[in-house]
Amino acid sequence: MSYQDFIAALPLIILAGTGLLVMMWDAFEKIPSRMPIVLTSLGSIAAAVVAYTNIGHNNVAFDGLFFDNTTSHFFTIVFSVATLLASLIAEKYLKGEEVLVGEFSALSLFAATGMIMMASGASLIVTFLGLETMSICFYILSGMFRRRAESNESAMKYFLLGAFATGFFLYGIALLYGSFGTLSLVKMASMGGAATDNTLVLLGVVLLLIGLLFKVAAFPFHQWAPDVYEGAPTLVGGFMSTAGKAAAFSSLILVGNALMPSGAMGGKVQTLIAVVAAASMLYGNIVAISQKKIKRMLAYSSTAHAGYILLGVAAGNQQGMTGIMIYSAVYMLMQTAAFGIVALLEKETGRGLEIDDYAGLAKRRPYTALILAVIMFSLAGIPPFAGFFGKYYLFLAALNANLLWLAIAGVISSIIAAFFYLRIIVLMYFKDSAHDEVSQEKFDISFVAVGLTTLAVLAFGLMPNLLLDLVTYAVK
Amino acid sequence: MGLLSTLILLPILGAASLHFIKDAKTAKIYTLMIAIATFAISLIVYMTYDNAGVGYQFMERIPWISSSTLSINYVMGIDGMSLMLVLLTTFLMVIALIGTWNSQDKKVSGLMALLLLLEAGMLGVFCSLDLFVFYIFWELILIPMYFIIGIWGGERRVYASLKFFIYTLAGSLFMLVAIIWLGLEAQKISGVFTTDLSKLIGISASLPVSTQNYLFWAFAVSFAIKVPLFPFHTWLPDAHVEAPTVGSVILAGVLLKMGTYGMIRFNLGLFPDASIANASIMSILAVVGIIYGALVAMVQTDIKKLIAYSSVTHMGFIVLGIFSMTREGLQGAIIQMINHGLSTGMLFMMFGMMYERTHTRAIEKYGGLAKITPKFAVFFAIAMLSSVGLPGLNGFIGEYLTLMGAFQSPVLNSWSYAILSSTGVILAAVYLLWMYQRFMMGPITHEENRKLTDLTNREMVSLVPLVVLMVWIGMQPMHFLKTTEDSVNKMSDGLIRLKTGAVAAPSMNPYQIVDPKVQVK
Repeated sequence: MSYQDFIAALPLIILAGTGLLVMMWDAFEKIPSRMPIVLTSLGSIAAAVVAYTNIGHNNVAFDGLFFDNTTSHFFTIVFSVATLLASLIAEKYLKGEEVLVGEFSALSLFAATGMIMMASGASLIVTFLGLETMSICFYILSGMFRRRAESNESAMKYFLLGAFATGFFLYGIALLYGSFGTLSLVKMASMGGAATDNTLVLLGVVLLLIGLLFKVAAFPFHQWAPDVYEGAPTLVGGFMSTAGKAAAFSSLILVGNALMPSGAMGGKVQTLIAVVAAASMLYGNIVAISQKKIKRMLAYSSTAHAGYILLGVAAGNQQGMTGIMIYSAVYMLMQTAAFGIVALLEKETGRGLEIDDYAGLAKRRPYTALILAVIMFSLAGIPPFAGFFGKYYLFLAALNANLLWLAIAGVISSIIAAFFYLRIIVLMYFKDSAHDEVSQEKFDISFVAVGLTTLAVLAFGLMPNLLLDLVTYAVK
Repeated sequence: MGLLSTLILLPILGAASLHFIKDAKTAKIYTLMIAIATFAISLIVYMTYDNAGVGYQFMERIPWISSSTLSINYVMGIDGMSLMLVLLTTFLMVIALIGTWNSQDKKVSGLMALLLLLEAGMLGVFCSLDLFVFYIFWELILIPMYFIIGIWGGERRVYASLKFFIYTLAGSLFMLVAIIWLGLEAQKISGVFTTDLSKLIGISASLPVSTQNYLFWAFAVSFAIKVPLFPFHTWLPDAHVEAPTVGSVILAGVLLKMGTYGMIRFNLGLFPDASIANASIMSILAVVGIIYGALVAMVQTDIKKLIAYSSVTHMGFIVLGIFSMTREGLQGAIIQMINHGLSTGMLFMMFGMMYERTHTRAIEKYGGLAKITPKFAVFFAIAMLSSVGLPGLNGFIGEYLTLMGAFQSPVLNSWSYAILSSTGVILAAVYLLWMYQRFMMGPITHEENRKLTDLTNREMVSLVPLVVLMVWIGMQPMHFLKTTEDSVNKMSDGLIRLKTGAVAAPSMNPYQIVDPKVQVK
């Protein structure tokens, strides 16, 4: 263990430390205050900055336990920014429920700590610890609104199904340990990974994949997502579906790099992932069309977006990795902004959970509507927004890996997706509201955070090199 | 920054700054000034464009997205064809703004901002020489047009705008796959993914014909939807009918040309073998569109729908001219793009002026208007006759050249295309003259129409330049043809050589064929 190792893990240490600090503060303060939010924001900004300066490293820290490379640091930035945004939105969303502020802040920080472990785990045990840390925080966060039945239901559902998925993941680790005699991904890769076509290894890999695909809510492991996102506090739903997914994808990259079978069975695993990707894209988008609640719609669409990112996993090439990283980051921004708007509307007007509530929004709240419109176009993959560039890169990866059919499935599902994303815009801009409430938009810090996120979506669309330069550091 | 980027950036900045102008009248004046400035810049480009120059001019190349394996540049440049379309865009925008000055009173500054954004997008499409950049501008156009139809449109505007959006998106996403594919082919050769048109031209032409075919169709379907070519035309009548006047003018005047422009620039340019192989299919669709559009137009009771279907016919001629691949055909196609923009744009705009007065699109609500609004009748007659293809006006030149091209084309190698589509000319006379008759001539059938006012001075100001251009192109087409001559001849000769092994005969020089003196005889 050297000084360098701690520098590599500094973002994790900062986030965990802030989490502990927030818990202490929460325990000792007399009157609930906004201080935990300030601390969380500062902590996540610090973690992001440190991770940014770490980009360019290429080591394995702590005696082969902890990756210290650009991929892991890039994802660390993504997680930290997601935590920052979540806490800024919480500023408003948790107004009037100050008791929860400390709890939410501490748990989101611990979840982010887990995510970093997933993105940096060079040993499967570290990955597993990260997965569990993150998941347990999510289970609690989903049930954060103790007095609301749907919040409890959401937590329970997520916990039960999540526990199952974790079981699969753990079983996969056991089989891999049995085959290789080590938990280190680096050593497994040096032993030839799954190139040996060992059935035990393949089984292990597939079980690992199932555990991770559950977390990204890919078809057919998506069943929990709509219910959980809908029942959980909107804020938490947004955090789970963005940072949580990015974490699972970061793990998928690591597992894929070390263990993606390249032998005769390799093609089959690739096909398996490709089929899951295609099914997720098509199923998610088709089912999203018929949703009446916006959070359920976003949940199904998040299954579809997981499918898009899986294009990159299935491609399994450098461009695929780049695509996964870019899209994870972009998707985090888009989905956080979308959930953020829903959360703010829900808080301010008591409505905004039904899709029909968005009718005539452009008249009542022009800026909110503008933000949501940009996000919808970006989610639909229309240039010049960042969502388009991300998708472009993933299609590029798929075509480069000779997966033309998969790219075409992606194209078809994008057309389907345009339908329901545009419906929100139609409602906001082309329809009149059923309610005549006039409420002013408040430009508070939460709203500004969502607005800046949207600006970032535009900026990354116009200047994709901002992201690409960071990411390609890793792939080289 | 080059002239072309200024051309594109000016409307974008204008649109962004409109955010601060809330007053409707100020917003309109401001937008008009931006549009006039853009037009002025495009005129400067036209003045300084060198007709004898080789290849693209006003080139700009700025690195945009790059990594070790990816290089996408912002490449701008124009040849004669792009230049004509750029001029059409900037010109029609000014005209459309003046012509529809009072037609909207709700959220005017929003509409103006979207129009400017639309203009920037269209100029970007015509100027970009990198497929990725082209694609971004191509898709960018969807957003303003979607809102223009959806917010300011008629009763079924939501349906029409959604149909327009999804239809176009569906086509263009397949084009995106094809663009990526081409870029990857370049990567296989040079190691760097690029979508630079100048680099791709050689690469795509050397692909096996089967691959070329797939790529050809991915592009062709996307463009065919935009044109729209039969059977992809169903979005057009809906979009036109529901769009506000200014939207219809721009849609018919410029937006449809993006499809035919793409066919020439990318389909013919990138996939010569596949273009020759599929020329007959495209031409058959064009001929079917010409006749079908005319027949359907004949029975319309809604004037806007009638004009919309006449667009299907006219655009069919353009596609036929393109896939004849002869010098005449291509020249005719380009000049016909301009003509259609002028004449159909004018028809839509004039009907919009009438609609502002009567608020009905049904043809039976009119009749005998020539007695009440004589000036309107005269201008409408000119636009209608230009659309019919009366010799002496612009429409004739385009249709004549495209038919001529189809007639002698060694690629199509059959007279039947020209013969069948010339019935489209006759049918055009039938439905347009009949429409004019029911609209303007005869006794006054509806008493309430007696109160209608004739064209105002503002409306005249917007129409006179269009008429001047129609007559100018009709009388002196060479002035316009020579701009595009160089690039067209090179493309046509290359294609014909690929097909027959021989260069087009010098007697097929359009100079001689379209000499106005010959036509008068």
